[in-house]
Amino acid sequence: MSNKNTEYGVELRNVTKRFGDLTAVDDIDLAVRDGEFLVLLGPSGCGKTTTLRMIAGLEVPTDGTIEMHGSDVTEKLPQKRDLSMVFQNYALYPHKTVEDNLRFPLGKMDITEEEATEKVEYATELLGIEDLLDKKPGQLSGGQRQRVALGRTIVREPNLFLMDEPLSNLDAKLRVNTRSELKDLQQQLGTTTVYVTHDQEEAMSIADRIVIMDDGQIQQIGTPQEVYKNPANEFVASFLGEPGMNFVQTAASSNGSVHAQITEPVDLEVSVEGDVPHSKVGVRPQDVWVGPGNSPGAPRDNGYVEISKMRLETIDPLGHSYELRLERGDHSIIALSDDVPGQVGDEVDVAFNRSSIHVFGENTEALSVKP
Amino acid sequence: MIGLLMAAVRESIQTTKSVFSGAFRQSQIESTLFDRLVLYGCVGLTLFFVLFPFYWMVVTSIIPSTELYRLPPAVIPTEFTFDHFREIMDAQVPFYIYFFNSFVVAVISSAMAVGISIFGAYSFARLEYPGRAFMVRGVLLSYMIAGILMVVPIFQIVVWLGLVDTLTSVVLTHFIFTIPLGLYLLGNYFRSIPKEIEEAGLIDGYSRVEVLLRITIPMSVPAIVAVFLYSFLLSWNEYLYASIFLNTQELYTLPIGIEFLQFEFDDVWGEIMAASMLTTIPVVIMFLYLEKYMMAGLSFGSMD
Amino acid sequence: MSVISQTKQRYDNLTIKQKEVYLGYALILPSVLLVAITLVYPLLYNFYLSFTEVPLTPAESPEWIGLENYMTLISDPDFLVALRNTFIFTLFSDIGATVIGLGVALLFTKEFFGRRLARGVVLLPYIAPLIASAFVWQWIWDPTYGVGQFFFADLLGLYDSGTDLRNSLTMVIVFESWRYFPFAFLLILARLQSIPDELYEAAKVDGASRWARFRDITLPELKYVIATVFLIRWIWNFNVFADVWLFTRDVPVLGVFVYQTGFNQFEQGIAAATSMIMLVFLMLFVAIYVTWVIEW
Repeated sequence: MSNKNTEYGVELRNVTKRFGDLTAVDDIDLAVRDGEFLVLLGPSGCGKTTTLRMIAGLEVPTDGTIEMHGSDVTEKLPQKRDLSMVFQNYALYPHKTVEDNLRFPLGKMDITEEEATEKVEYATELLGIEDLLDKKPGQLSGGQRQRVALGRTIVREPNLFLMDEPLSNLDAKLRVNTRSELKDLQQQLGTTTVYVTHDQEEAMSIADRIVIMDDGQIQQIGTPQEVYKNPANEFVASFLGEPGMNFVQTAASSNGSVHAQITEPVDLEVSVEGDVPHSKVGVRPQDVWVGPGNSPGAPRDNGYVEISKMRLETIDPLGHSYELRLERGDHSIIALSDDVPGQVGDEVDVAFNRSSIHVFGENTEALSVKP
Repeated sequence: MIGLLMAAVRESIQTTKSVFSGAFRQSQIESTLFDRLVLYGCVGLTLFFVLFPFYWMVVTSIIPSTELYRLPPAVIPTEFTFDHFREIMDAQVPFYIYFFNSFVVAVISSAMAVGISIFGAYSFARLEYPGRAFMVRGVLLSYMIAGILMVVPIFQIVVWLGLVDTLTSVVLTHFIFTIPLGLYLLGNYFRSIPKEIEEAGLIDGYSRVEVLLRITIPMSVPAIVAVFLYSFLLSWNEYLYASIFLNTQELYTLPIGIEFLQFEFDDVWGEIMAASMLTTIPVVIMFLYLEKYMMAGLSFGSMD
Repeated sequence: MSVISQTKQRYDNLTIKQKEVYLGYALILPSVLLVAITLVYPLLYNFYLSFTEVPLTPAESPEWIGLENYMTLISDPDFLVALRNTFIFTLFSDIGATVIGLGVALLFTKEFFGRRLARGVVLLPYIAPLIASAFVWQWIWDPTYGVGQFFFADLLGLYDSGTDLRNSLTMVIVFESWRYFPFAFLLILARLQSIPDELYEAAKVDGASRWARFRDITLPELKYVIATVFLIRWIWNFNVFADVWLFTRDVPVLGVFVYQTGFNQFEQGIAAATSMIMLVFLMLFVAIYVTWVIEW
């Protein structure tokens, strides 16, 4: 393998994949930095798994090229790419013991029997699966299988880890524990990792950078912070965050400001660059302040903009906080609040955090908001 | 066989339990006594219809000829003898020769058929190339073409090859006639293996062929055993081609050999039934042990 | 550069798709070639031979005689009898095997003592070697000492003692139905077991009678599998040879006719022509059946 050292371990250029009439991946460009933990996130059918499988060499792009460390691998067979992969269903070899499963990837490496044993021991120790070595995959629990699959991935110490929803078959609690272990492991080994998931919380907690995909296209690439705080378009904004972002259609803008007529007497007014005929204003439920109706008002001084009063329609306790649905006229928004500001049917004060207001233009693209 | 008995016992225990609990509940929806009588009557009749010929085969083979040729027949035998078995073993060409021939032909032709169809079936199941659908259909179509439709040209070819009166010709025809079966059954099995397991093998550094040899085949042992057994059965039973290719008595396979017994003995039924029983026993044992493997083959239909 | 390294280089330059295509061909080729050689070639060769007189010694080549073999067949009363027998045999042993198989499969949907063992036992006629079954049936219906003869003729007087039932087409049909009903049983039972119980329970709640449940739930669910069983059995019954030949020499069907003409009288040209006619009838039937009955 030529070691033309570039910053990027893997680079996809104008990659398209079609299955018959269906375009799974539509002309994407993607560069994976050396050593980073990159997560492909998106709803099912968005093309993230196909992208991963093309990096693996299990699918061949219809168009475009894939490079690894500067050399073209588009037509290179998967077994020659020096990468390893965890499959969603783990794909352990059912007829082999755990030890043989771990040893199998070493079979094609130019190492001695002792070195292979050492590598297997290292991986088993790292993952704490020493006592499983003699078992067959069928005798293991879901979590144990997941560990063995991970062991098989790291044992060869390849250049690149690929992971296709490796945690989706675990129960909720185990999933949370395992993902932080996974992140530690990756940092310890420093191996470039491309990870596919549809679970945004998982993606947020584990990724160095997140690639958000929809409909075969990349919607945004950035750190978890960036994609959450500054979504590039309406899709990213609505896909990330739980509950989803509130959107309000605005009146036509003039003079670089848009008006969202959620409330009276005051319109929510936001300044943007240029004139925008149709736009939407978005605010996350976390950024909505709700107070009792007789309160002195929203914390205006802290950058909040007061919207005035809305009617409290429902209160759903979530355990750590409450999900509130508020209505006024035709408009309805969701807010998250630590405590209950009143009773259902009460008029309450509502305010938005000005710095957290997003505006999306005609083509759903995010517009930069003037402070 | 023990396993089967155990399962039968387990099943009957469960059935008995449910019968008892049904009796206690006494609901009108549960079957009435009359219903159960009819049910067991039908089951008994079916089993009699199925089993009587085999019962009669066993009885005929172990009672002396004097008991055989009399009226009324000895439906419940009182005298026993192994004379018939002894006689077919002491015949001019002993019976075990046919047994051995059949065994050799069946094992070799089945092994070859399995060996070659593993690769073909994998190709059908997993690889994509132009003409595949056409070939898959062609192989299935070959299912329609029974031996009798090609007996003249194949005999001519065997004559031309100079293979008349050799076991090779029988092995070759049985081998080739069971390939479609192997392609079909193994292809279905390979398709049922998750693709990801093979992909994991590719990613672990192995080529397609290595993955096939080191992962897919070891995982498919049950299906391979099933195909082997079923082609073994077909070969064991095959009469038409063996009968037109083989002239020398020492080369006869079981079906021809048993048929030939008719001409060797007078009052042959004792000997023929003894031979038939010896031919049936291996098949039944095989079936008892490997019933679940064989189901797939049996559902494919017959070949002769 | 050596040929090997050149080939290797050329292989390395192929795209992944091309490599897969080559591997696919390489793996399937032996099977397809063998099947083609023993299927396509013999079929074509058979077609050719059916227009020739095939000499007894392989050194001489067949002599072209045009349609003569077919002419001979059409005016041969033995052939016409065999043709008629084949159709009757095929139809009735197919119906026999399917109906018995259906009945026994329905029986096995009920719970009874030892059902699992009984299921294995029912398959016996189908897995037992043909030669054994055929001969034991011959022996049972032996006109002098046969136990079936004794019971049905001597004891019950259902037919005249001393009649050899083995020569009748009916008996061959009964034998063939006995031998192959387990095949129908196996496929139909598998389908029956996959019908959800809820369907029957819902019908029971609606007050449907047993017959109504069978007609409105079971039969529609079984339509496809019964049609398949019927087709498969038709194909194999039509091509029958050994089953009939080993049971009796006195009921000529087309398979037996081919065998006798080709290998007792050594009129292999005529035998080849008979095979061709069989093939045409068979394909016609399958085409009609698939188009109008199954509508695949």
